[in-house]
Amino acid sequence: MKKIVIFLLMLGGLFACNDMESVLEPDPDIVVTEDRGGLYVLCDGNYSLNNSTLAVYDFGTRSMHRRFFEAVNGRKLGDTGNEMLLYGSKLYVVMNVSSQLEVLDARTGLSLAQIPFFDADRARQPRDLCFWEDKVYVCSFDGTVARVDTALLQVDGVVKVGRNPDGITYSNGKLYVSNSGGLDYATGLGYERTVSILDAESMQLIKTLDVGLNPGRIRADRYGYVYVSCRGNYSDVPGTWVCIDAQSDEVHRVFDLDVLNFDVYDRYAYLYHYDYERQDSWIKLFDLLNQEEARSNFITDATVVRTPYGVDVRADNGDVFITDAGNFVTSGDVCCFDPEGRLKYRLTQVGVSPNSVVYVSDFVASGSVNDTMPAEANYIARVWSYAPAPGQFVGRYPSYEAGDDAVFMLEKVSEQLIGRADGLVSLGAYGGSLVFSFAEPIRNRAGLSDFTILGNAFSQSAEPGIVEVSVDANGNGLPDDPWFELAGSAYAQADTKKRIRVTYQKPTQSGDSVQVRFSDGRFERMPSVYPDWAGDSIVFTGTLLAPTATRKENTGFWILNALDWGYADNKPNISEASHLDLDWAVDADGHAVALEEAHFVRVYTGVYQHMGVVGELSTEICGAILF
Amino acid sequence: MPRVIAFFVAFLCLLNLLAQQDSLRTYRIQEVYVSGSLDPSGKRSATPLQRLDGAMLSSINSLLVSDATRFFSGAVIKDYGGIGGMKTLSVRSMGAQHTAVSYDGVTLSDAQTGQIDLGRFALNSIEVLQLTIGDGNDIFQPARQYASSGMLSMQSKRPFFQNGERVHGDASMQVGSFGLMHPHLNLAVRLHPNWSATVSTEYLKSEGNYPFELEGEDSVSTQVRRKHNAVENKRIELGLWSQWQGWKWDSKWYHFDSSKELPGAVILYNSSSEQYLWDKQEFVQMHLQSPALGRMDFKTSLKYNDADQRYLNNQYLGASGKEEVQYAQQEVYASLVGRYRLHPKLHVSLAHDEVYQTMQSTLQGFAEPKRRSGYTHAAVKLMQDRFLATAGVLLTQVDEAATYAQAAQDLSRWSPSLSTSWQLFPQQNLFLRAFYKASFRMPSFNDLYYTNSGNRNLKPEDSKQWNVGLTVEQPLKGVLSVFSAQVDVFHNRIRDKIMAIPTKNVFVWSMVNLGSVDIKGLDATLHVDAAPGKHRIGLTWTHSYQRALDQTRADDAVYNNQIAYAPRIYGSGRMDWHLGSWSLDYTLLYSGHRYVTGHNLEENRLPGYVDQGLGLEHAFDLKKATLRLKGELLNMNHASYEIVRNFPMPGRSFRLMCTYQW
Repeated sequence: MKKIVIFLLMLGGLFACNDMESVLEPDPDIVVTEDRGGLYVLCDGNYSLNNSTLAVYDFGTRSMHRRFFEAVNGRKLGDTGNEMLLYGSKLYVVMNVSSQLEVLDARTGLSLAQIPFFDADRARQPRDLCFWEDKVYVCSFDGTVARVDTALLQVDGVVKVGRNPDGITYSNGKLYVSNSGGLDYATGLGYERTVSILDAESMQLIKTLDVGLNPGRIRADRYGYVYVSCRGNYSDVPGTWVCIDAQSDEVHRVFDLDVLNFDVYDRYAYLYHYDYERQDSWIKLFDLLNQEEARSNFITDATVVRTPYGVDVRADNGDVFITDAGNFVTSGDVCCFDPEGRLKYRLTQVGVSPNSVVYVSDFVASGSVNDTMPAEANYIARVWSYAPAPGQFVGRYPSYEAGDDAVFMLEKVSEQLIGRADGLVSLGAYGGSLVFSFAEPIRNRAGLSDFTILGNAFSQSAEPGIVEVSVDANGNGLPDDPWFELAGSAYAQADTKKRIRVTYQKPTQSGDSVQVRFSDGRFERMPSVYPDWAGDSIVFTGTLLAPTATRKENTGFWILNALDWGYADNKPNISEASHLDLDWAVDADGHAVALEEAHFVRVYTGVYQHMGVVGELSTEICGAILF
Repeated sequence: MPRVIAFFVAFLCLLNLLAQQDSLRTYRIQEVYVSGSLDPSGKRSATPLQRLDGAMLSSINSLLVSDATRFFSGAVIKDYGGIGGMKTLSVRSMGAQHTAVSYDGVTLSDAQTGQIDLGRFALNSIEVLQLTIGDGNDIFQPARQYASSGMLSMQSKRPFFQNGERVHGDASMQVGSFGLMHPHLNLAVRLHPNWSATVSTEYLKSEGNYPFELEGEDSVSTQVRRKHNAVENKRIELGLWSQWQGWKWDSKWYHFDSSKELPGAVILYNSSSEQYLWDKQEFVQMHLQSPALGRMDFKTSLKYNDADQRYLNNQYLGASGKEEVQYAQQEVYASLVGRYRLHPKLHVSLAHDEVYQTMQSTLQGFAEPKRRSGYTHAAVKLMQDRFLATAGVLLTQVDEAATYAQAAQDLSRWSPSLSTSWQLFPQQNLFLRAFYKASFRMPSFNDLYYTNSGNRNLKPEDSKQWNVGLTVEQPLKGVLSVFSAQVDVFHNRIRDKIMAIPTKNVFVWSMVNLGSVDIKGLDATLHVDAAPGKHRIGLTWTHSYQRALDQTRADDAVYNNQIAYAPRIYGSGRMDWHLGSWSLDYTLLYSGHRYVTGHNLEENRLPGYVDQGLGLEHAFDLKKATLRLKGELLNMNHASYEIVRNFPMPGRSFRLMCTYQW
């Protein structure tokens, strides 16, 4: 009997543990193009989960920020982001269920205004937008078009149009609003079939034009026509694609094409259809000049788009972005095609149901300060050593290929950092270090900060690195003199440990976890990549900061908190709190040292922390600037 | 054999009576009706069977049936929070539509959605709550009861009179946090030696304006209150009961109506909601059960059910500025089941049920579907001293018709099941059990016919279950008096899962048969009774482990991810401690983290939670009656959690109850 009880308990114990772990998002794709700037991707998310996201692919640093809006602005975007528009220097994002218009600075992604769309208590539910002169026009499900002043960022007029407008566009001094009537599909009224045509200046209704059942997406071409997809009723009334003459405001032609969504660019329109019940689709190229189908299958290579969900054409070069919502649960992809229909690149798992894509040429992610920095700035002139600790991005930034040795890796790092601000070098976990110098010594400017190290930190994503400087006391021109730590804001904290030695042991088999031993007796295993070109162990002694990242109870998200000042890759590069000052230098005993100048800089990852699926905390360096 | 059973039943009742006499907790003795089960702990059952009754039900600090079912191993409640929030029960990750719910022996149905909201049922009038996974052991049941993967049975209180007693009943008043008020009355009257009548009625009102944490800017949480969350329920039941020369007959009229405000999900930057839901349900039902007529006995049931629902959204952006839809459903049900004893150890049964369901709605172009379902079930049961086996096969025939649309295809399908239990050693209460059951759930009327999204080509969603388990019950010497345990491992497969996918048109969803789920897991229940001195302590622990993995498409990122809202581990603990007229209850519910979609990314993670409750009761003996006062402290650690994302659960709250029983 007892044995049975023990057996039962054992069996229970075996199954008692919660072995369910989050899966990792796949590594962000690295797209190698000549492009600079960034690609914004707005994703619907799932209804009522408040998980709409705005992602950015930064061509400069070749990195993907999947939750860019949240990271930059410290709050969530909201529920069901439907459409996004770049106008001037601003990005306008329509949040349908949250009923807001987010206005962002397109270069940085910082929110400039969050404009509520409510009629007293009732959410208007904005859906689509277009621009003309200094206004942005937003149509909302409550049957209105609102005019937003792009300077004041305020709604300065609202007019009634038809039922549940689904799209809006501008042509020939007029606004064309497609009235879907979608919210009456199940009442006696049924779908709408009209386009409201308004005078853009006065916002007066000029005409209500019958176009076909259930009008949706509407866009204007350059030849004076406006196209609208009339989606039918999804059963006995098939969809059509209708061309409106923007001179006469009459229906010019009706094409027998069941278009769900499209975009217009230059001479062409890119149309797609998707059948939800059968899960099949087509994507066509349409010649707007001759008003005929140019290619029945836009895609000319073997690329498969499983669930087309959005189509946008890049304004400056005609690249065609087709988003793939996959199964609507997992994050979808963005496929970039050249105008010939060949895949240029695919960004995988960008967000849930990606719907609009906007390219911003002067995008400045916090990490890539390429365009903000003056060309004549005093960048890093020489990298003396690169000794990373194990880390998930070690061997990727910069990339390591079998056979590379330390000398070769140093060359790659130099390539990333010398003379520029948009490199990317990962130092790995605690103690991973980098030594560099500028063309001239760093002078201690009285009352001013003296230099800065550029990282890829932004709000809630700080990975502080400790900075040390040294003076070439022996005059041999080499960084072999004592290091003085720049005592940052956490230096005097009780939980900051001085002179901690760490030893990383090379795993016997590549890919195994790395054994980590600290001089205070702590021993851990870290599932990170060991730099193959380093020896059998990596030893480092320095100051160890207390863990800075915290996990949020209610969402399980990791927040990588920043320290107040005095560290690399800690505050955003645009922040003055990222600047460094020789006045902070201290010796090994913690006594302040008065330095006139310094010749060498050493920076190392100051925190040892492993954050589950997020990986270890590791300082990343994009460059440095001497003031 | 029947006489043996009857004797055994009487003997058990007598024992029970004797055992209870020194305690104030008078146990209302029921005729053993449910399944002829003489084994409430379920140790002999060939399929997992869990039961909460009598004192147990009052010691788990639960107001609603859905609160109580959280203590069953393997059962996960999807709860939208508060008293008014919808609560559905999913057994072993198969989904709520695979779990049938029965009330007084007849399956409740909602052909529109295919699932039952357990938040409608308060526990006061419930006598027995039982969860059966698989078919159970009783082959003498209406055929429809075998048509689902699992079954939650609710048995309302039945009249029982002690010698010379003519009237008895109980009345209670419950008040609590967030505007809860809940008076309730059960009354039984003996009209004649063979006739009795019962009345059961209640009123429940709650404001539901509980506080919760809202995540705001820079991840700082602010405390706000749930708005627009009130609920008001009314229920009345009248019953008439009789017996004559072993024949038993009862009938019941049931009326329920409810009015609810629907708060909706907590949407960032948009807190507006003006949605309402009104429900009205009425049914009449009747049972007749024969005594043993030679080797044969039979029973029959009849029911007519009428349900109306009205939904109103005052902020709808359609032309009229509001959305108002009414739905009406009717069901006629008839059942006949007969059992024949071929041999004292070998029984066979045959059952046939007819169900006719219709639905109307004010939705434009609504199909007005009608469904006739015929269930025919044949079973055989073999009972040796140490061995029990049942085999059954169910034939389901569904004829669909629709007034204003093309109907879905008719269907005819066989579903076999097999179960066995074996006592491993003659002198020890140690049983090995195993079962297999094939089942399916029909697409609901919404799945098939809902305007725009309905898909008439949907196939039923298939389920297959395999289960192996051990049960043990051991009387112990010393302070610990009884130890019992049930441990089962199982493997379930769902094929052709019916899923809704969003479309580019945000108004329209699309229903598809797209999905396979593979579920492997373990359910365990341990129970210990202890009696140190005058104290009586009962301890129960349940634990579930479920790997419910999506296996729809191997090239999907969600392949082999845990399905949405299924925790890997889940369990409960409860302790009831009695001393004289005092009793103290402690309850614990815990759940591992879950994912809000089928993609197990960190951002979709919903953290696990622990919810603890405490109850203290004192009973006053008033000669012919008992007065009880009970105070409950719910979610005493003020855990802030959600079961469904953006539908927060209440934090710490209180309830006070006064019951007068005579």
